[in-house]
Amino acid sequence: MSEPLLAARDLTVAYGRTTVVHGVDLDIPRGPHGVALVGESGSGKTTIARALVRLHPLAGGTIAFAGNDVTRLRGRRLLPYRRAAQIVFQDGEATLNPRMRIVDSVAEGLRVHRVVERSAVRERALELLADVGLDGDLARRYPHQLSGGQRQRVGIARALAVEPQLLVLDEPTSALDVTVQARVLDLIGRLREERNLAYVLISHNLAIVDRLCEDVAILYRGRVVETGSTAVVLRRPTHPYSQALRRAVPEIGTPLLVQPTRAGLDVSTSGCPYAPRCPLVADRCKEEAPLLREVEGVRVACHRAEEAVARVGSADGTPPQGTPPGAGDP
Amino acid sequence: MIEARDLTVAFGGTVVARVPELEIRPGTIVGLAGESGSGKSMTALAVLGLTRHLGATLTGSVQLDGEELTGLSERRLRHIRGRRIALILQSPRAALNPTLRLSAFARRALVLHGVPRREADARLRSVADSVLLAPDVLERFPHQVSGGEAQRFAIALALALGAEYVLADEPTSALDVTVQAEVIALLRRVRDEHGVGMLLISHDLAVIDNLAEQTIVMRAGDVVESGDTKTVLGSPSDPYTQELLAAVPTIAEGP
Amino acid sequence: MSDLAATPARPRAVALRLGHDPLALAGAIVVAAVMIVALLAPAIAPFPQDAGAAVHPLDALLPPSHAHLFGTDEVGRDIFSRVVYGARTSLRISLEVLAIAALVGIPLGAIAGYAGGLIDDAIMRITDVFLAFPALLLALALAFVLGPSVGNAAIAISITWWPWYTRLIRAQASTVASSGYVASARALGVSHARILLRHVLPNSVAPALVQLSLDFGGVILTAAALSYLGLGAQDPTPEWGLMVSQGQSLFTTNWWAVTFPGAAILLTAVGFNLLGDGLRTILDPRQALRDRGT
Repeated sequence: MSEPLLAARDLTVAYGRTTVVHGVDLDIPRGPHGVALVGESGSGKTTIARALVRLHPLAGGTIAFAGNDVTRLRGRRLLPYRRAAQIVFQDGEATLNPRMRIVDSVAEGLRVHRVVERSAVRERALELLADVGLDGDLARRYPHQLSGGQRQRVGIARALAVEPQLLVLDEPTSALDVTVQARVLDLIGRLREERNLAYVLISHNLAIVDRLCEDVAILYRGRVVETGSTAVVLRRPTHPYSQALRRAVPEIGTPLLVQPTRAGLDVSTSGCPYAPRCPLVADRCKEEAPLLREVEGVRVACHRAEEAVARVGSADGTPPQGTPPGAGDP
Repeated sequence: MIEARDLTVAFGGTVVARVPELEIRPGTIVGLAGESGSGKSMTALAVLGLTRHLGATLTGSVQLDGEELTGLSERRLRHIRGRRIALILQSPRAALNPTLRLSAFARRALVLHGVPRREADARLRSVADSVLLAPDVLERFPHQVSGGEAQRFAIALALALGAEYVLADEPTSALDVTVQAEVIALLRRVRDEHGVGMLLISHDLAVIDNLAEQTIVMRAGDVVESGDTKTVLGSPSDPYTQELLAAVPTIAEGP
Repeated sequence: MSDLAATPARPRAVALRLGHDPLALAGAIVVAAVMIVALLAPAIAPFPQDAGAAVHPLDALLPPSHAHLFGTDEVGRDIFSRVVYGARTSLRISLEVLAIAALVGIPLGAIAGYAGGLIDDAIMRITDVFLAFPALLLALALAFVLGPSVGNAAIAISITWWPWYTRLIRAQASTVASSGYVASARALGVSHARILLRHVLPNSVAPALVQLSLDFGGVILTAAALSYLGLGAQDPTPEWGLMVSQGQSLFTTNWWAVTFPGAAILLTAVGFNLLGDGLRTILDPRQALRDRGT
């Protein structure tokens, strides 16, 4: 098995005194390959995304890129990693300097990393914009003169300008209309094939994850609760939270079978973080935090994973087990 | 029944929403689907007479149980807003006073609409119970509650005021998917157990499919398709609706 | 206030909107007039030598007439010429003071807001120290040590003026520093210096521009006050505050000696204020939203 492009071990991240990511492991293989980080608010997925590209300090753990430890690099020595791993944020408007024309925003990375000679910078920037579908005089516009979908494309172009090997996409389409979203997803799919891109996709949308990623890690309150291939995890979720997540996704033509639960529940301080909400909770769950272990082809952090798996397809409404396809749709 | 006919909202010369026909009956949910700029939010604001605050002109008729709402005085409209037709927004905290605990806010709203103080507290508690909101959440400030809790509170308040109709503008778009599922279930309950009629605005067709019996699809201010939800979202005749449906990503089942 | 810097202001758009605001337009006209007068002083003043050391004791305290539009002062100098040259003096002081305030205060504020932490604390504490100096006392001290003059008055005012700009910019720079585009720039590997120059400064400076135009009037007033107290300009330098000081005892008998320089101060200060207020309204992002439509 070839060495992963990015190997993160025991990532621990804090905001001030509060730990929001607790010892997360992540492996990103070389491209073309997509790994999804799925979770809701408080899951730590955005924090992990920022930590992976060294935008947020780690309280613990290591990040190795192509075998090299990049965890503590700074300044000049960090520059090569900055070029190799890029990030695209959710909100295009906030991530573009409102006073810079988009062509200049795209050109900035080219200049900093001397991707091309000075004289060729502008031309390359225009090419990059054209490549994401923004050609002609759109290049000279300011961010507020573009639509949300167009701004997102600029963000992608800017990240790709430095020719990264790894792209972190933090909710790339959440703020977009569904038709615009479809086109941006097409773009990501195309770029993935053209550039052999490896990417980490952060999303709460399981359908997008299914489309673009081979592997998925489900996060709950800063911990990985389930991880495995998308094909299996989305169709036969094992962890009770994964099941709840899958069950909660509304679909056209299928009635949502969810019973409302009492809101305002406390957060657990010891044991499994999901214990307060878990339908399978036992005494052991409240005392001992479960570790990730292999259960029927996926890795799950649950003491009662075997029972949880058996519930799939039963009366609680979790979608029935289908034969998982060979690989996730690229 | 809320009945709107030939409703047009315009800013200067530009029409931003044009709805020829809209009917919201008690105990039913009408879904208003569309992307940004479709005019769906404007339509909801028009029903409540709030478009004039934005400087827009409104033509057409909106009737609440036969009473014409367009052209009513602000005083009269204020009696109707909240009390008979409630508005629930995408950002649940946007409508809340950050300096008041939720219970205090609710009490004021109830008293404002003529509910005696003692009764207000009792009503609020029973309604909070029916939306499964823990009582201690009511004693918190808006910034101390989650989005889902705030949205439940908004629904609870609407019920406490005895609203017969609810206009919900993207009520679940800002919520986590598991929280969204619960709010969807709650809205169903509100419709079934309290007989509330609803206008549900959402860009998420799956949410509309799960809640609305009737669906109206809007695009750039105009209604492109409307009718029974099963038909509109199951076998749409309009190409834009088809395009919308095709663009929605779904989790494929099986190989 | 923090939104103020978020709107990109195109000069042409700004000028256009200025035209629609009658008060701001009035202010702009006054400011333009003062600047033209200052620039063309030698051509406008009928007795330029009276703005210098010339004295004409025989023509002392003549009332306004065709030859002397504003009359003459107690040593016979043409007040009109001195008021015209006074515009030069006032504008020069303002430019000196504000140039220093901007060149020192703005970069410090940008660095403080962007860097945060210890650097921010250090810079702000230094700023606080300078803010504690009252301009008047400082001018007094300088006048004592170095002798009173326009130049020393300018120094005194500068020292107490720049900290306001640091504070102003720092607040905005801090917001910009936590913005998505600065994070993106960092993720791209852009150096701190470049981030400051291309991202932080351009997006933090708008409130300072408004403040600068308002401060023009403020500095003129402060300089006039210092000169009035004898701490700034000295005779024969034509400075409006000094002229007011010299003419005030003659108010009841020779009203023109104090009235015209006083009116000049008033008009100029008000003009700059109106212009500054107009600029602030124009640069208000909510105004921009209204213009763009919904």
